[in-house]
Amino acid sequence: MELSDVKYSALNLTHNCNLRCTYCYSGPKRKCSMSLVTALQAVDFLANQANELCTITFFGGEPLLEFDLIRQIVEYAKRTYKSKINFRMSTNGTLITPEILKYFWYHDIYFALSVDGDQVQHDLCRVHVNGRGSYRAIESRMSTILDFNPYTIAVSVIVPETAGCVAAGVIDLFEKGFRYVLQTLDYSALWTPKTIKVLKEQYKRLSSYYEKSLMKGKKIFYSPFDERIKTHAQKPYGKGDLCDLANSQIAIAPSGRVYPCVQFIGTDDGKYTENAIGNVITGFDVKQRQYFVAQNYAERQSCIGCALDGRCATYCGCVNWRSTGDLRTIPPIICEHERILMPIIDAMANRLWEKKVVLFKRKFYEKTFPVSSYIEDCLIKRGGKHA
Amino acid sequence: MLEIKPVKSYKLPVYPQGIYYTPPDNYPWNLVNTGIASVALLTLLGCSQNTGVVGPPPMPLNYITEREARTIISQAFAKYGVEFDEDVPCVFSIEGNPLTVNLDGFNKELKVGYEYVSAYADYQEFVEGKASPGPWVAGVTTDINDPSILVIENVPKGTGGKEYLENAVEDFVHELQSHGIL
Repeated sequence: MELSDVKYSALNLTHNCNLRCTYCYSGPKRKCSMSLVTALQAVDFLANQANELCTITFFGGEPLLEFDLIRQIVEYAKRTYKSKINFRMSTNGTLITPEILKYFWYHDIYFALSVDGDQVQHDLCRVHVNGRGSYRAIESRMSTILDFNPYTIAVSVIVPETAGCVAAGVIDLFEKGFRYVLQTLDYSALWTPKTIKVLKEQYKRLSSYYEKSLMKGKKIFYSPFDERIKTHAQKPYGKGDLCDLANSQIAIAPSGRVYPCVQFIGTDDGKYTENAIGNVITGFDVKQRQYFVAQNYAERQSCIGCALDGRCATYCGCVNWRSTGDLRTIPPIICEHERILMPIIDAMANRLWEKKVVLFKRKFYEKTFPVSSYIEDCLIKRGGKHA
Repeated sequence: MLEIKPVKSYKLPVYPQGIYYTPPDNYPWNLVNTGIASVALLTLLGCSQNTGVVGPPPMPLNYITEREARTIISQAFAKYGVEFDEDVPCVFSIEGNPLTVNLDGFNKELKVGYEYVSAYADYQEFVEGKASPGPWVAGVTTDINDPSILVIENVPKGTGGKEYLENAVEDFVHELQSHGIL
């Protein structure tokens, strides 16, 4: 099997975190961070693996616990590899300061902010070490963050306990000024038919909000809807489109071990090391890497003949592995979730199409929309402090 | 009990599949977008879908600043006898929806203008607290029909940056001449 160049890599800077989110898959938190030597070796490794551009996403634990390390990595990469390497980050946002924002802004580092929704939804799972909710810590920073980058992505996770407040939470994020909300379920949680039914009602409410927003010309991106509309309006998922673990996407642990995805790192010891596909010093274990890619690309036996094949999320081997222990075995919750979600989305998209909503047409059918929309935003923003 | 149940039949959605929409002829301006950054933006946005991380991509540092760009562009236009008022507020109509734009330069008689899109203020000015809000003039606007606007996105400094802007103006002027606007 031919492997592709590495295009994206998570750099897991630390196993430590100042939060204790209930659904975190990163394993027990401990003070164990990537050394500067390993970090720079990782940058060299990625620059050599990437044919053109490579995007490094700072990850953790909480990467901002290692802000000094981030600075050293960025400065080394810019000095050595110029624009071949660019950076992003996934953060819980509680440690962000104006100085950090200025630094990120100057170095064009965009980040995704983990925020589940409104305070009720967020504080149920995203808690400090002492068990108290962390919403207040990020709420006070939200407007500054959005001021620096209005395209900041809110990343949200739904668990069965928060299923009933999903719509309020997502609407709250959009009303606070986020334009991008990436949301997923905790597929490894204990979902039941009852909680799925609750979630279905929430999606219906959200589809109404999304529809009205697009009709008003409000540009919002809600991943559960947008990604699935694209699989019909543009093209269905192909191999590697949704998840390209171990191939164009990899992850590097604090030890320097290379993994197929951040979800495989765990505690980066014991049986977790069996998932490693290489090391930043010795390079890739090609056979191991090929094994993971082949598993991820393999046909999902349980989906054969399904009319929704190519439109749903079954080809994320990371989620399958974390939920069932096997890359090709789909957890039933994915199937149930897609079956409730797709008809709601398609009914909404049908209405938007039939009503000839311009933003819907532009968003899903105009190839240059990302550019024309961006220019439009810049023009509208003229007069703002960043113009 | 949750279970995996392949869907045997599913009604094909009404919204179409795999077609691409062409902006209508009455799009509010003759958008001549010459930014290198645009191409990079589109490409990178497309690439970024896999990672689930979207939004504008990182851009190279050290752009030609707004002030520098205005000087270069206005001098390039002046060679063809086109002069501009600066910071002209205009209201365009996009499919019936008003879009208010403060153009960097606009000639009301010719209905020709330009806009250099600098997404970020000069960093040094910003950290020193010298960056000031742009000259937004709310309420004093001009309705413009069928204008021709040159839009250029961030152009990196260094070799070729100035020439890039000058060439963009030249191409734009030739296009205007071919349409009898100049």
